[in-house]
Amino acid sequence: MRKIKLTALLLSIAALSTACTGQSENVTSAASGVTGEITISCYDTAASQAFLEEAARKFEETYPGTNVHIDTFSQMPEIKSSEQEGEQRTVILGEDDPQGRADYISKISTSLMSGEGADLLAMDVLPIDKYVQSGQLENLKEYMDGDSSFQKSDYRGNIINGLEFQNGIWFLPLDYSFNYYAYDSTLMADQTTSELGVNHAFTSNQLIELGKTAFNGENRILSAPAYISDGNGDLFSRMFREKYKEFVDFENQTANFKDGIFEELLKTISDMADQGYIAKGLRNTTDTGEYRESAENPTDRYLFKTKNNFSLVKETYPDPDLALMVSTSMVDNGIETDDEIGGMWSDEGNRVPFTYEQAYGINSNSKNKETAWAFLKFLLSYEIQSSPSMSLLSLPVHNKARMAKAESLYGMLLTESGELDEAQRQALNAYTDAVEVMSDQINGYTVRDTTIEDMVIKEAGYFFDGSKTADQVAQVLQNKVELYLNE
Amino acid sequence: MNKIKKHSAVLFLLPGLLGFTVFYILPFFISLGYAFTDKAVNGTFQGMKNFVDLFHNKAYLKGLFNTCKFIAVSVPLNMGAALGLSLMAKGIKKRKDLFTLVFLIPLVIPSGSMAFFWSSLFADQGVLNGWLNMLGIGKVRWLDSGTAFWIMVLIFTWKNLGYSMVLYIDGLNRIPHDYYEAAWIDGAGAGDIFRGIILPLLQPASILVLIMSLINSFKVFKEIYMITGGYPHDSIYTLQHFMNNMFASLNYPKLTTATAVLVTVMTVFSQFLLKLERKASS
Amino acid sequence: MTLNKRFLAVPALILLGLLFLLPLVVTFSNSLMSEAEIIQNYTAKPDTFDLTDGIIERFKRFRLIPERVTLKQYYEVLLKQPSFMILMGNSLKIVIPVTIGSLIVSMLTAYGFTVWEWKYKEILFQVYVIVMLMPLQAVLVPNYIIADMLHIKDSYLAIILPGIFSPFGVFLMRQAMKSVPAAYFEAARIDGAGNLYIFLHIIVPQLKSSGAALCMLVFIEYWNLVEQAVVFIRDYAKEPLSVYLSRIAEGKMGLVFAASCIYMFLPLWFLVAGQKNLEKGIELSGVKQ
Repeated sequence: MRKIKLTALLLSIAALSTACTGQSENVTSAASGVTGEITISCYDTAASQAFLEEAARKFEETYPGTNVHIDTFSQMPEIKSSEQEGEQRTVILGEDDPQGRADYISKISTSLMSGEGADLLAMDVLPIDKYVQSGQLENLKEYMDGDSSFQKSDYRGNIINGLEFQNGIWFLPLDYSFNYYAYDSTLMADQTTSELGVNHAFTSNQLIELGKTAFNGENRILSAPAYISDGNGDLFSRMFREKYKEFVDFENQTANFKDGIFEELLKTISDMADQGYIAKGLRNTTDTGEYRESAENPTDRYLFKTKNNFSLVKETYPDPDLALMVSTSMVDNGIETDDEIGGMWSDEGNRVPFTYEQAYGINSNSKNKETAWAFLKFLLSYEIQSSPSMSLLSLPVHNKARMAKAESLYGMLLTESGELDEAQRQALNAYTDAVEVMSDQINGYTVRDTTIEDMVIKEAGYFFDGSKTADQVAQVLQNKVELYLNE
Repeated sequence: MNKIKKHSAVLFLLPGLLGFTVFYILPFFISLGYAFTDKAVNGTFQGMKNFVDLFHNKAYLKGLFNTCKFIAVSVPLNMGAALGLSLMAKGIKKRKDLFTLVFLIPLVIPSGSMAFFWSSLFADQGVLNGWLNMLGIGKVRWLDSGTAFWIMVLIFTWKNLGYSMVLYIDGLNRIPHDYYEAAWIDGAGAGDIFRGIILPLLQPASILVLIMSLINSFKVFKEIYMITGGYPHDSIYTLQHFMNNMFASLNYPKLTTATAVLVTVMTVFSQFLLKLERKASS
Repeated sequence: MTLNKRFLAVPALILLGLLFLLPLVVTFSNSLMSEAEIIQNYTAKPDTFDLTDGIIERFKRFRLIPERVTLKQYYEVLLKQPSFMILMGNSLKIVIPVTIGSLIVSMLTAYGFTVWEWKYKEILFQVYVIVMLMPLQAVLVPNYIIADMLHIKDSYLAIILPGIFSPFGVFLMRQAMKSVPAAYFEAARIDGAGNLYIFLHIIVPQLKSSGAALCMLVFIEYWNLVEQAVVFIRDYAKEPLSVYLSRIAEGKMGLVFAASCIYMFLPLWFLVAGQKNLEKGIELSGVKQ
């Protein structure tokens, strides 16, 4: 035992001395050529693993001598088998939980701190603002400007430029999604609908004001309820995000919950619920049986509802079977057959934001930045962007790929052969037109911090269940968020 | 001859010392460099600025204050309770082992189960609020108000009481029985015996309990973190929260600065502890 | 103690004892429940309110006796899902080398500290004490740096080696050695015994129970290890079971209780079997000559 230990020690000393010299050499050795090994690290494996594996394989074919590793974080899935009505069912439970996410972040952070880490980092759950502040990500603006083979005009420029944060672009998205409002045409008067349409954008407040003219106490103005504890699809978390800049300033690291704006927000929403404009909460989000039933046989009508870009398919090609298939909303949107596009969802200050499923940044510690950039470019190329393994729900940033994908999407959803008939082709054109007009309005991305959002959503719940006053909630949040930002 | 043998003892020390140096001392000095730079990657040297900033950092000061407060409250409490229970255990004739075993059991419960238990108990919709509800009393936000601090003290005591008891019971067993008898004959009361005999003779044990409690007071963070996450109520935001969050958000300079300050504090503190220990054992 | 006092003290102590046992009892009784029952007891989805129904409050509750006792969880964990056993095997792969290694290293080092005469010995020992007092969060990054340099960061060695050289064992063993009367050393030396002889034939037998106590404490600590594993181990199939158990979340509670109980069994058994040693062992460290 002792002998083994001593040799281990000797080895470790030897390794120490080589490790020290090894580090200084790396600076110069990253010379030229797309070659060698790179690693990509991501958390959300469901969204990206299959996609990345395929892209990696193609990349390795295109650039012989390269080797792309995909490092995913996973936990042991719990496999459950149960017998129901004589039928054996096996369920593999999902992997996402807050503890697992925190574990992933701490793994990545430790490796980055020691000057290591994957060359490309997926920006799925990492605290982007903190990584940018600590100089952990490369400024991709320089890469894009300095690389003549990268044509910015092939992409949606407003998406890429919208990512500018702290005088740089630190990561690039492969896809984007946006939210828009739909309105129920049977409930809206003609003079109101003239203010609505694909080239308009509204904040929740503006929309509620607009809806008040048509509100008769029978149908709610918005399908979103006042508050849901997981902050997904409710009006509070939406309006909080709209006013995000008022409350949190990342650049100066200050929080601002105390000057009454936040209190007013809470009170406004609770007033809206009292007026019957919106529901107070969901009956029970976990009770899926009930939810499913109301989704399949909707009875309620709402003046407005928020939808994801994917639902545009439904708006351009009304078909009840299709409607169910592409139901993506987090909350029950009621009867949707008479829906028309109302406009884009906008933040306060006329910012029309987007979200993404996949985005990647280059680690400043990377020893093979050139290959990492080449791979990132490859992910953004037409070939990959138009591949079927890209998410169905979001839109590719590559312009031509977006068109190609829309076509294959329509082929897949509406036909069996993939050949579109005349009516379907018209619907497709209407869809792509709508997507482009609506996408043109996008002008920003809000760097959000899940930690802050979790704090705010949790604390706001105390207001909505009546156990704290708006003033108390604002006070607590001021302390917590300020502490977090100034840590 | 004798001298040579005494010097050959260094061979026993060497392997352990080497490993200790490689795995603890060396990396500490390597990482110390970050305490003087502005950021982890391509940082520039900025002297003592990080140290100055640290003492203006509200979060750090809050963590420091809470940690000191926690130690000041929980360590004496734990020591006192352990001593009291040990004195009681001394009076028990039968099944003494079982008695101590009960208090040792918290040591072996997996942290996950432990965290699950305490959070089920103290959650807003938790068991305790359920009982209060039945009595017609409104909810108490156990983990989101000042009570959180006392829950942290409770969890610490719950976990470490048995450990400290074992140390004290042993210390008590080492006090020769004649001492008590002599005192009885002299007409001393229970209080006199406690002050005059038990406390002074228990000093070595007390110092060990103190050291162990201190070490373990830092370890309670693991469960607290599992229950309340990285940003708990103000009253239980400790130094470890600060360090853990710096760790998660990649702020290496702040983390190493905090560590360096902590090492300085511990150096002074360990000096004091060792002096105390030497005095007690001589 | 007078009879009167005892009448009061005994029930109070029993009550206190029950309080200490409650988490164990709750975990155990949960392990005998069906998943449906667990979910029923512990789901209290907050904020389930609606305009029409008002606020509906449901609270979690501890049920000490299951409605229907079932061994299904144990059956699943032990027979149907080999992954749990694999993770438990991982725990053993970490904890056994750390325990044995730290015992040997600590004993040797402590002996060195006791016998070796050097001016700055106590200062060196103070360094050990300082590191021992540092919270884990402060030590984790240095650990990572060195593991990275030695290229062991993706292996268990990154956890095992710092564990073996941890200062805690040295401290404990040195305190224990202080209780061995100096006369023993002198007598052996006069007889011409070498250090190795003294170590093996005098120190080791004298410190058996202290050694056992150290083993037990190290075992318990590393059996419940979470943070280091989270930082160093990437692949879930290599994680120790303690990490998995630390992620008990709502909706994922089906088997963790049985797994926890099985996991607890080993340290609990050590505790019961080794309690005498623990008491004697840390006891020795408390008293010096």
